[in-house]
Formats: sequence, C-alpha cells, structure tokens
Amino acid sequence: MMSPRPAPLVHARKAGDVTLATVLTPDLHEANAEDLGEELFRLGEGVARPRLRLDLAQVTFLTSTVLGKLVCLHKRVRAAGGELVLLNVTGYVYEVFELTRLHQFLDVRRPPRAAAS
Amino acid sequence: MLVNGTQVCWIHSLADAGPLLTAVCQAMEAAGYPEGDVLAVRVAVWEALVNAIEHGNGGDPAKQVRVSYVVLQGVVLAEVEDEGPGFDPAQVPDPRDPENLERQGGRGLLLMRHCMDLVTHNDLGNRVNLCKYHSAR
Repeated sequence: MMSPRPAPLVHARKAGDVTLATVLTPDLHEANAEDLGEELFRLGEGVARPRLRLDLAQVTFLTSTVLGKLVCLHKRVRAAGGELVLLNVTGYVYEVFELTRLHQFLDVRRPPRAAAS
Repeated sequence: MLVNGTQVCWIHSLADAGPLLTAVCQAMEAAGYPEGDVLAVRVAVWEALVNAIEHGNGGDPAKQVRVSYVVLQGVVLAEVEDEGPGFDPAQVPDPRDPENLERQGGRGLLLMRHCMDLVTHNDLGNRVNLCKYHSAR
C-alpha cells in the first residue's frame, strides 16, 4: 500500500508571469524544511527568469535551517535571472531576518500597514 | 542542574524533539510566561537540539542527547548535552558579516543568543546551558 502523500506546505498560483506561493503552516523547521525546499525549488524549475513571491503571513516559527533554505532558493532564482520576494513577514519572523541581516540580502517585506507604521 | 523540579530526558533524533518542546512550552504557559518568552525558549531549545543531534552527534541515532529543564516562576533553565567531541563557540563565524550572509548555515547559535538571556557552553563545547528570565517580572 502506498503511504499517503504529505499535505502540501505551500499553495501556489500564477498571476501573469509572477508565481505567488503562500506558506500554509505556522511552523517551519527541520521536520518540514526539506519538503518546503523541494516544493519551492519546483516552482522555479524550467522557468526563465522566475518571479516568485512567497507569502509568509501565516508563519510564526522559523528556524535557522529554514533561513538557509530561503538563502539557497534566492541564489537559485537569482542565478536564473529571476527574483524572490518574501511577503507579509511579521513579528518574530521579521525580527529574525533583521537579526541575521538577511533583510539586507533578501527582499523581505512586511505587510503594507506594518511597513508604513 | 541541581534545581528541584528539574525534568530530565534523553532523545536520539529530532522526531523526539516535538513532544519535549511541547512539554516545555506548556509548563511555561502554566507558569504565566508571556507568549514572547515561550516562543523565544522554543526557538532556542530547538536550535540547541538541532546542533546537538546533527552536529554534535553527527546524526547518529545510536547516540543520545541529554536534555534537562526546569520552569520556575521567574526563570527557565535548560541544558542540552550531546556525545560529540564539542566545539569552540568563539570560533563560529559571525553569520552577519557580509562575506557570510550568503552561507546556508551557521545562524543557530546567533538565534539562541538572541532569544535567551544567557547562553553558556562547557569547556569541551558539547553542553549548552540556556537561561531565560520572565520578561514581565
């Protein structure tokens, strides 16, 4: 008997040449980092100049391993001439990007209202 | 750690880490710790466990990680010890340096130090002690 497929971690949809991927789980850590990486890498595969928007609004817990996955994804997308934008990053998760200074390297955006305040 | 109420357990893989972290967080919530403190301890203990299991024990499930923790009214103490050769925390490159920003790893210790009030290692470097004070007291 086949084992059940794990629930997807992201929901992706196309809007023109942009892929908007919404992360569906609040916790990103070692237990799902590999699956997340595979799902995200797949979104940019075979696409010339992939334009990827990753919505992290639902994410409240994220570990250093997942930061590494996002760095890796950014480098792959950049190498293909595309761009990766992290959207709706709030609270502790935004704090982590600032702490690690990855907000200087990655395009990390808070929700519009939070960014304005 | 010689404090009354200290819980001790041994884990072998990250699969064991979830229930342990849940127990720590539930104990903190029951003791009235703010949500931010609970999240900070969850992050720091998780990073310590990842370091111990994957780096210290080299991912060998035959090796174990000893974890002890105690949740008191004003402070949470945790200790994570692996069976590895240890490391020198002073030699860990700063992941915030521009030349390290694109590296995939090396941010766990930084997160631990950010989340906790005190992070210390034993001389060998295979045991880390974490301390978090109740932020509202």
